[in-house]
Amino acid sequence: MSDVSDTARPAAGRRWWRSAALALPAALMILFGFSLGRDSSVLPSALVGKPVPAVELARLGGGDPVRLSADGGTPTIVNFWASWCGACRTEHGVLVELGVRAGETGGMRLVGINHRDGESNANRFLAEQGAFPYPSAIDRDGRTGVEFGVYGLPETFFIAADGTVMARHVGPLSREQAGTYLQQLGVSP
Amino acid sequence: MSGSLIELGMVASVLALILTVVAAVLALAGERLARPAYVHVARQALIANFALITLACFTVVWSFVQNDFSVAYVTQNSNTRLPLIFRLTALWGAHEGSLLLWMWFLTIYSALAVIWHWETHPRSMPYVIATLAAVQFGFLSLIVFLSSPFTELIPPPPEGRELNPLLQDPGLIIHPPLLYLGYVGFVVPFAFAIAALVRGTAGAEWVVAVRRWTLFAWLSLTSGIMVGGYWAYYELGWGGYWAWDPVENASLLPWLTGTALLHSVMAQEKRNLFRGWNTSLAISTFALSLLGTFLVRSGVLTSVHSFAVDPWRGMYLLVFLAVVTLGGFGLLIARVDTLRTAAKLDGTLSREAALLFNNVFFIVTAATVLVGTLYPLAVEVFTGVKLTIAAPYFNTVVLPIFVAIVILMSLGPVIPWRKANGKQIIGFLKVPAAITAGLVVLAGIFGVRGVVPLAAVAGMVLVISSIGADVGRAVVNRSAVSGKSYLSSLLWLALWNRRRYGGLVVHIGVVIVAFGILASGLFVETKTVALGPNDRFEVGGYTLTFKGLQTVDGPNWVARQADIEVHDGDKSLGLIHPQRRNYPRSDMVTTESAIRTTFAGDLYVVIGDELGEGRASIRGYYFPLIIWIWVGWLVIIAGSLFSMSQRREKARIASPAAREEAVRS
Repeated sequence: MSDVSDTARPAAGRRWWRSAALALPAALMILFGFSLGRDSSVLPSALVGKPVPAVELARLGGGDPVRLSADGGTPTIVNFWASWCGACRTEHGVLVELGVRAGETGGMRLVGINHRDGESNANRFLAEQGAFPYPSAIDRDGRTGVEFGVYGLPETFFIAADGTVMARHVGPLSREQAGTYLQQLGVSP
Repeated sequence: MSGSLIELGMVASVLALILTVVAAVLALAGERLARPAYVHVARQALIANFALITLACFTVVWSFVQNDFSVAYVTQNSNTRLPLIFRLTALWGAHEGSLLLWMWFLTIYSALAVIWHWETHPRSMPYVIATLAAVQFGFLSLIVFLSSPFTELIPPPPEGRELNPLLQDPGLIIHPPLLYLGYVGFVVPFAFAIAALVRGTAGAEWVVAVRRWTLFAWLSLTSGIMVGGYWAYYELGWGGYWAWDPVENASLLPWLTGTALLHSVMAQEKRNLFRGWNTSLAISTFALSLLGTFLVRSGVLTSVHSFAVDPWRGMYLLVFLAVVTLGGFGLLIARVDTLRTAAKLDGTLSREAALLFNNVFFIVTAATVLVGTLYPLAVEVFTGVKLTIAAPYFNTVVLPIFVAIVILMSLGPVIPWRKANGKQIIGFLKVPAAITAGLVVLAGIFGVRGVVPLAAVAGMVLVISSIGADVGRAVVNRSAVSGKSYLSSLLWLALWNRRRYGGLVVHIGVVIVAFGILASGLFVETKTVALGPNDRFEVGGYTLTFKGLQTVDGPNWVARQADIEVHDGDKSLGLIHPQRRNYPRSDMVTTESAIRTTFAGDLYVVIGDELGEGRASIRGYYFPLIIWIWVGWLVIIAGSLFSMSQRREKARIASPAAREEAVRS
């Protein structure tokens, strides 16, 4: 490295930018690290803290209409799903388990809302994946979804016994997440 | 049978992964132990990787063509009703395949770099090979271990799902590959920057190696951004082409630093200035390309349909990004002193000073965009509050800098190297400035209001007229010397100075783009009306008659279509058909706007809600001169290709610079 035109000049007094040149990207990486750990499925909802919208919809597969109202008296989980929603398959098992438990203990209630779907497609989905042990309502034109502020499926709402919406979960629900939300409803997970 | 074909793709990828390790180890060992044969094997390994990844891509594409739903990636992104052209391009329809395409481009660039520079840059080659192999290793590990497009489904489902309907469009077929071609292209300057830092030398040969790769990557990235903008314009139905969306900003960041590099590398070539700075720009540009990939692919930026993101992928990409960025900058900091030269700026009125200002403007813009893009993320991480930084912030901060850049463009290419004096500058700019003043007054009379728009008009006119004056002077001189006509003198000058004249053409293209942006933004006309059959309304001087609604069936969609007759005065211009398409398999609706493009302006019509009894709400826009944005892009392509076609620099490096390369280290 002996090059006459390439003599290194003393770099004293320029040290600060060296630290900055490493500190800035490092800070960015740390920020990204934190943001990866962040749970992007917890989304604020205008509904949280407010009474659940009253709903009366036809039941998938026939039978009594499905009703939701603020004076239901039971902690309720409302799950929006559709046959075209890939991530709904991921959470299917968790919901079925919750539904079975709700049926056994009676301490809570689950309601599915089949959102913007065809009835035959929805039934085929349930035949493939296993039926929910609780009723699903048909929200064919997506109107109920709009009332809940749903923007991507699956979404799940957790409603306390007094009819207040406690939380909104976007994306597939895991067992652990369900447990945390149930505590908020006062149901032992 | 084709089940085994996709396994072949996996095997090829694993082999390629092994070869990246072989290449990196052998290249460095060959250098340390002075065994040129090792380096040669490393080179062949990178070339072999091109063949292997080509094969891997082919297996995925062929599985799409064959509707092979035993391949999970095919099932998720295709079905039997998807037209063949979209099955061919579904490779980059989702995460896994996009990464494979990224990887394929990386192997192409790597193979070409080691082939083309093998003879001219023997000293840098071991480090270039090792760097390229390391980057390949990073991406291939992700593909093989965390993001495999080769996963099989047993038993295969009878039918697949659907390619994202937004991607079922010619614009979005070519937008991602162009963007990746740009992102990945900066890997070669990056590899040469690493080599320069390790060796402690970045001579003229470095500039030659870096400049054309940077220009090509820059052109691809520019084209990717432009095509993306055009797609957004005609497909998304809101008439805009750029929204300062985080994903868009991610593509703008490497473009900004890449543009800075493209310019400042000239100062190194001509005056041996900015050597350390250029290596840092090369590293930053590639790091920002990776940042873009990370932001889009990790799910860090919350996007409506990015739920099923595997957190390990994000973590992996983050670690990879950190290794490249911190490694690159760490090396830079440790070694940049070896790149210092005694050369310095001679005066503030000089080409090199203009280039310095150019760099300052581009870096400030990049920093602004970076902060605006990441600030919401930082706020959310630390306070949990979700917020978005919208267009007003960026427009307020970035547009004035862009106007300053345009004004600088008028001076930069004509100002002499080393030192100019005020008199020379006034001499250069006298006539252009007079023309500019006249046209700015004219623009004011025609209704251009506000400081920024008027300054933009001034900058644009100044650029064109100063380029015109400069070229005009050169042509007159050449004609006087050679005795030939002006036209043949111009051709002679351009052919012998392709880089300079190509660059000037690019500048003209940029001005045309700016012109389209400014005019369509300032004079847009829009109207939303509720229409029944045979109702009419006017927009942009056209009369539109609503003929009614009908349902149209496509291969995998059903559309509601409005038929609208367009009249210009009494003359009928025929029917236009805006649509709303419903893709039942993915339950998505896309807007197909009807656009009637002329060089004077675009009539742009979208169909809104149906109001019953055959009535519908219709929105019409008139964007004056908007097509010039993309005409300017074509001019930029022409200028860049013309500039790249100059091969004389090869002859130049054969002598002093190549010797320099050989002597050092």
